[in-house]
Amino acid sequence: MGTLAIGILTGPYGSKNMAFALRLAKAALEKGHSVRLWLSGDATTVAKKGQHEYHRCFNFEAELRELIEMGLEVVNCESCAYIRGINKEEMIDGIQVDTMTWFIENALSSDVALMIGEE
Amino acid sequence: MTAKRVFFLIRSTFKKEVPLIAMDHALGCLTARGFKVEPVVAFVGAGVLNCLRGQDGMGTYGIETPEERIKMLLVSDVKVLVCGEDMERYGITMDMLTDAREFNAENTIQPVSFEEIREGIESSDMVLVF
Repeated sequence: MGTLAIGILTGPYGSKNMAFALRLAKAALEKGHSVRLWLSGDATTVAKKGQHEYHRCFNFEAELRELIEMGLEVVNCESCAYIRGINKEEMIDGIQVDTMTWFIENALSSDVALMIGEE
Repeated sequence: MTAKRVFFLIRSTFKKEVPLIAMDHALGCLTARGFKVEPVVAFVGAGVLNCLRGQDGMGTYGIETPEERIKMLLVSDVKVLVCGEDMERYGITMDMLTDAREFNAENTIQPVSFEEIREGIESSDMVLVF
């Protein structure tokens, strides 16, 4: 089985990128692959716990909790989260914090790496 | 240890945070553990506008500009490429490109053809598109 590294820059609610990244991660995990998810830029805001469920809106917190339970490794960019006022204590349990170097190292040691940017 | 080449292709302009994040990742390559990493940064499309000299983000908006990050890349001896065809499209000439001469950096932004950028992409171990 392989390892997939996904980096994402887009915030959760303004586009479909985050939902796509989580769906992709889930599909890979279900096939038995390892998945590393790197949250950078506005994507770091998806890590915040206490998000509210809203009619016909993707429930990012519930999805992340489920994927972490399935083995998804989620790492939030330390400086991007810091400037957005998101502290470690406010993050969904299981989400780690590290620097951009973490993503480079883990992307290079993965079989496939994707960077989902912002359009 | 053979160096792994990571190619950063930047299309986004200074209107967004994306080019700054891309360059921060490139700088992060220099301290990677377990790998010797050679980052290459290339600006294409509207991304070439990031390379302009004399940006005043701090004075105008109180924010950092891509120019400051480019200077950091040049000082750190990271290869920085800009697409010559796109420079021409935007009317950007060599003298309009920033540099890091004030920090005694000999490394400069290198205008290259898109063909050379494509070759760079193909010869890299990993390509990250921003």
